[in-house]
Amino acid sequence: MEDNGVCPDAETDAMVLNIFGRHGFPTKKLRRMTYWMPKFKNLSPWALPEKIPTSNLEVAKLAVQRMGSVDPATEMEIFQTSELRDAIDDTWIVSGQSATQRELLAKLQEKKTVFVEGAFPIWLRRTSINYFILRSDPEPLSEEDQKQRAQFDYDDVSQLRSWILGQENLTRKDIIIEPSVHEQEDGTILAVAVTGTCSKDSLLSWIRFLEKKNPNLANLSILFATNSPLGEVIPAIESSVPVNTVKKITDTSDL
Amino acid sequence: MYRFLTSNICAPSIWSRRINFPVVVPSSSFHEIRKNGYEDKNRKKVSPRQAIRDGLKELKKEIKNWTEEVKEGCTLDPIMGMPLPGEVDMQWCFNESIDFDHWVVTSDSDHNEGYSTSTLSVSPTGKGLFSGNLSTQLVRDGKVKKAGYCNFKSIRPQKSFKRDSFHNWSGYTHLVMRVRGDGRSYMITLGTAGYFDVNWNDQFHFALYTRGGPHWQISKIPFSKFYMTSRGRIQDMQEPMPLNRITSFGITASDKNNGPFRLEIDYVGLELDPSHKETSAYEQYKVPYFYAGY
Repeated sequence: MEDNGVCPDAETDAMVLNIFGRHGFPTKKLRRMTYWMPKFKNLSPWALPEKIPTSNLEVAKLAVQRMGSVDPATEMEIFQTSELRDAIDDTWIVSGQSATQRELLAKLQEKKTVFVEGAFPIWLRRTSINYFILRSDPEPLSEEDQKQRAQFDYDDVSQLRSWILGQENLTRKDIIIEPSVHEQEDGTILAVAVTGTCSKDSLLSWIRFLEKKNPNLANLSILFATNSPLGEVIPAIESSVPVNTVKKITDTSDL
Repeated sequence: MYRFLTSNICAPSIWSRRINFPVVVPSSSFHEIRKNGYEDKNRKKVSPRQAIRDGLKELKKEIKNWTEEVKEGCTLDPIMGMPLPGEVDMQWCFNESIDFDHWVVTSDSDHNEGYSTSTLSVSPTGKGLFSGNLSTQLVRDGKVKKAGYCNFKSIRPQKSFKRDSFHNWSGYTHLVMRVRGDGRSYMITLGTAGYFDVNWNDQFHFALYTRGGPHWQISKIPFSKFYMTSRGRIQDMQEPMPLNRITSFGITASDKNNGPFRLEIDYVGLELDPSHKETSAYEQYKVPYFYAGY
């Protein structure tokens, strides 16, 4: 029972008690399971339905929702490549982008490179699915900031200011906008997507769909990267012939 | 009595799927082997003379360490009261300068009990990376019933002259980790080995859930949520973690999913949250004598 995540109930407890007796190992084991399993059952902050659906589209929706949970303003959209005129593949694309990410994209300068990287796997209990990201390089810190970060010493007491003598604190007074959760040290994540066929053509279609809400994307140079600082990449399928949906479910039993 | 119970009861161990092997190692001597049955059969036998020579080589370094300790004891101010609330005190920072001698990486393939592989390395972004391939395929030797775990842990801190020491984390309430996972659940293991041999394998476990995706996550787990196990078998009598006697920190991947796993770690730190008053999350019930494993 414990291997398959089945929590005991009162009926099972009564059955085991009647068959094996009060002072036996089976009853003790079952009562231990009744104590511990409910405590661990719903601990994950990213809740998943009891039965993960088998269709790739549903799994993709769950994955994009899960990855987008980092920013409450994330919106999930589903596109069909058949809506585009010159798309070769006919597939669905689940894309997640938040308003903050759209603003970050809009602020990027002309001719700046953004990378479409992927595919990375994400696991949802027993199934895994591949996703792609749209990433731009991180903003380099100004010279002053870099110097300050490199030389900062928390234990330095040589520059203590005393309010009694009327000395003001040395801390900076300028106000900056707090960096969003998408601006990381290895890049700014601008959007996340899962496509039905993990092919380059579907990624092109994704970019075209993104351009509708992010007009600045047309001014940027988009690179399809084969390696990424975010990790090992499963390369997107290159062929122009439409491929069957790439399913990556590793175990038939679904929990 | 404790040993009898643990060797005969199939106590449910929800998170750990380790292999069953005899708890009591049959041996002719009374000396208990700390490595719990995994003896290194290929270890080279060193002659006593050579052993003395090797020991004397280390003497200089150990005396230097000891003098450093004495100096620190005389000059260092003791931490008064509690650490700064709300501030994360970093314990281990994973970057390009990881000292791999301080970390032990194991998996079930080490002793031919499975086919999983794992490595601890530096990720392309310059952070620590624990990755590998988990396989639940069984080895066909008739003894192995379950397989599939990969683990890395810190070595036990030592004082001068190779004396075993502890991490002293008293005063803190939360363990804070900045990680980027792949959606899989990992298990955090805090070893709290005691003085007596029945307590050598005391550990405290809890799950590390990862969101997956390209974003980093900060997991802040209170120490009161960790549950006590002995060699991975969850114990009936739970108690708050002895924060002044932590021997090791480790992360295990054993979620029964066949496939590659990848966990990037930025830092592991400690925090004091004054609003957290819970000491242990697991309520205890009165049971008849000799029922619960002690």
